[in-house]
Amino acid sequence: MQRHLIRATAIGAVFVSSAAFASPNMAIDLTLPEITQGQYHRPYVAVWVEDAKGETVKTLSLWVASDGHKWLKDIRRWWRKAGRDDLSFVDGIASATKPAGHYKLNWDLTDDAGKAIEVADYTLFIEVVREHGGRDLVRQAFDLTKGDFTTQLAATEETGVIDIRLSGVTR
Amino acid sequence: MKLRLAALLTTLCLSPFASSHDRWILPSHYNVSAEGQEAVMITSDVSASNQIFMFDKPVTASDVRIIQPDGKPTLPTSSYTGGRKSVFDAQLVQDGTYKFEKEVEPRYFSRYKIKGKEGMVRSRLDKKATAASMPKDAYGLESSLTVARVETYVTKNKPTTKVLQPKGEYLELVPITHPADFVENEPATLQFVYDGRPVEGVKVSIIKEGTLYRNKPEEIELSSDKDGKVAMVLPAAGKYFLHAALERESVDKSLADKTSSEIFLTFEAGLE
Repeated sequence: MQRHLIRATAIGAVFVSSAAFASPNMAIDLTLPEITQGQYHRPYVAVWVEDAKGETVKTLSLWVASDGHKWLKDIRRWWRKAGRDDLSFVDGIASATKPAGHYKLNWDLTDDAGKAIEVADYTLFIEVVREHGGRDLVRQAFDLTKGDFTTQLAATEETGVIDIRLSGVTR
Repeated sequence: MKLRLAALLTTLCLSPFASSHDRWILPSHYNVSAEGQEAVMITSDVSASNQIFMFDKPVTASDVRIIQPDGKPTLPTSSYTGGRKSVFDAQLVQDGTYKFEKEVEPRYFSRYKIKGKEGMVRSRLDKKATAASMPKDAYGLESSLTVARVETYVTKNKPTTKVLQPKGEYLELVPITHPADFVENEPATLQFVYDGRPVEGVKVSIIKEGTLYRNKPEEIELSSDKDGKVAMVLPAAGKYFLHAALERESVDKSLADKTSSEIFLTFEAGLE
């Protein structure tokens, strides 16, 4: 109960601040869980946004092993939707794998070319794949016409709880 | 099960021309990623079996052709013929989609009966040659020309479409949805053409791997529409086997009454 109250206050604060700051932002608080069972390798992670037609709009993060492109295909949906189309783009955004922990990502609602996206339906995807481990694909649909929101995605084997907060869209 | 077996036997009796085994090329990977011009080695198994992807018959891999993304054919870098399967390796250098194919040369099959004797006499000769060599009291001569293709597609980095083009001979399968984009629970479309033109009524059967561990094959059965198209929705990610067949009356009946075409395609449905 106490926790709910705190959460409600936090949401209230978001609304207040979004009124004050009109620059849109999606904050994603991504957790990679500590996994102690079996052989552990850091996961390959892709975070991206697709439009209503399933076309990628923006890849926010790509965390992969540094030994070439061999493993990209294992981030299966992201590879099919975005990776395989433009390998030089992939080189530009790829960064090293990360250990278990919390990571904050921010997206200013611009596409891969840096242009503001249209007010429409989108889906945020987070794909986490681990060698000798599992794969989880989690998603959150959102509609920019409906304005700001805060949500939490439940933990899976390969992803911890993910908090998503869109602000600055409510006019 | 009994019913199925009976049905199968009937089919075999009615159609002595069709091969009783499914043939297939099973690559180790359908989609690979690599940096720049870095080559990726793929290995593939070639066999024939009744259960999907069980190794039963030593089908040769020596006649496998690899069509590269630029359309130029090449041969496997190495191959091996074993007692239950064959294996070939292919080095993928170019980016794009490759087609691995094994085209079985068109062959004639004939059969006839002899008065007072049970069963059929079969030959691998055309109608004319069989008629010339069969005994005088023989009757019921039927001949068929059979053509089969055993094929699969493998993609390195971004898919390309050059190898998807039909050649315009006999029955061919043209993927409308790119094979690198076959995904579980998403519709995918294939088109069948005969002599390069869309053909209706091609019987298609699609089976997911692992039939040995299921009580039923759980076939998806489809038939091509007037545009030669079939739409499939694959229920789960994994490797699949597709068999397509079409029988047509021959234009020139002097050598064969009908032409029987078959395609054996192996593919993968990706995770959503």
